[in-house]
Amino acid sequence: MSSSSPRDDGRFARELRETLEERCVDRALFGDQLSLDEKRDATALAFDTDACIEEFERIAAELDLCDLAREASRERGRTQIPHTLSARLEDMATSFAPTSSAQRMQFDRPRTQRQRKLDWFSAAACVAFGAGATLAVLRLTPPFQQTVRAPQSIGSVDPVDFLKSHPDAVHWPWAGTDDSHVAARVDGEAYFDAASGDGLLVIEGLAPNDPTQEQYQLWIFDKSRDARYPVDGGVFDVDAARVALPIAARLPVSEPMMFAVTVERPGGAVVSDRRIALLAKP
Amino acid sequence: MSEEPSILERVAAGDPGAPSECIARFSGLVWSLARRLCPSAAEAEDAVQEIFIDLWKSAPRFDASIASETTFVAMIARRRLIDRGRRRARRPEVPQIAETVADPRERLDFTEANEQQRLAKNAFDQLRPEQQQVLQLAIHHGCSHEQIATATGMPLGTVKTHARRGLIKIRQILAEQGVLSQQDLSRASGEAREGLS
Repeated sequence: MSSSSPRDDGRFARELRETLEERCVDRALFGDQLSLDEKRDATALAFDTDACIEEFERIAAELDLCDLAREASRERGRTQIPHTLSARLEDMATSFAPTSSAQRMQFDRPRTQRQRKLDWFSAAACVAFGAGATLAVLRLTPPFQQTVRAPQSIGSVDPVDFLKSHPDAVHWPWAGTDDSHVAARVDGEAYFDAASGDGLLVIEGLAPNDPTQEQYQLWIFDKSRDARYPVDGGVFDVDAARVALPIAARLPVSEPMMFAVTVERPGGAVVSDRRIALLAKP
Repeated sequence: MSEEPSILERVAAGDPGAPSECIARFSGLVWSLARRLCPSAAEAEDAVQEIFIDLWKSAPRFDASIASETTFVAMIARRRLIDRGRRRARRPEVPQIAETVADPRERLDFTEANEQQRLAKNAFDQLRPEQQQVLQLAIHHGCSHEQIATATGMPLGTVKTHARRGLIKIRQILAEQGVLSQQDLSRASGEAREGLS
């Protein structure tokens, strides 16, 4: 077995750190997500990718503002917002009500132009099942007892360990919808091993929920089942910026094709007609 | 003498009038960013609404010692617009044209570049011309790697290299000028120590 010298280790760490910085630039400028391997490397190096990304975002914003200031002096009319938007923003501001203890904001989210034309739920269903599908709601076959699970810290449910122990597991990144529970930056993945039925959710960017008012519910779409009847993955709460929790499907899932997280009443739903917050698919 | 809390600090503290003030102060800036990075006025309107929601949610994270309010607003707005752009790229969409009757109220509070912005621009001016070109297209026009490669005729890998090295160089220049925050400097010195080990 060969052993590297401390000098080699130092150089390797420095090169890895430089690579991570470059990937942070990619995120800040182009929205590229860091891969699981890169996140693992960052953890090993104690490299704060979020802070690095924000630093580059800040520089980009400052450069942009310089340019905007010049532009604004040339074409002032373009900075005037439309009347209709102005009115909608004022409505939003009026209905915005912060709950400071948990820094959780609740407000009546206005329907966007896209939503006015096509409800997000139908849109997500169309994305998943093709334009010919007529799915309007998520349905479960029998009414299952729902279980609430407490979220666990990322340290106790490690996706790297999960993939080591489940090498055939699928893992797909989350994409946020326009739902108000979803932050600007969504991170994390859904992991699922069909052979064992084991899975793992890692989510960053979902707002903390008040379990007395609403809960999140996971749905697993199985290629071998009727697409109108996704498998219930259980309900869960979010009480931290980043959560990791095991998936416990109520039925066997032989070929997962998509995961969805919806916002439901406490205890979850048997038939969901509410909002999709997150989607994960290949 | 204690300074008055900023608009974002008041939003974070739950001041009921602060969201409206936030709109009055920053909607011109957000609208300008959205119009430049969205393909249609209709999409820009949706984006502006999303951005303000994000901004209010993110208000507790605002730290005046790291960035000005204007920079923080632009950061949040740009992040949301970049993410929307990526989603749009995966979702073919028919361009929309909406009526945009301008609100006559002037909202141009951002037109005065602050000292940090000027220093960032000075650092940008020190980059190689090809790095400036790539960053200009990425930052001001919201172009993807592929779009920049097409526009400039550079190979994709070269575009990535110029973007990365250019922005990292700007950060280095700003750090040398003492512009970056204490947090940034602490991290930079930690990296330097590790580099020497």
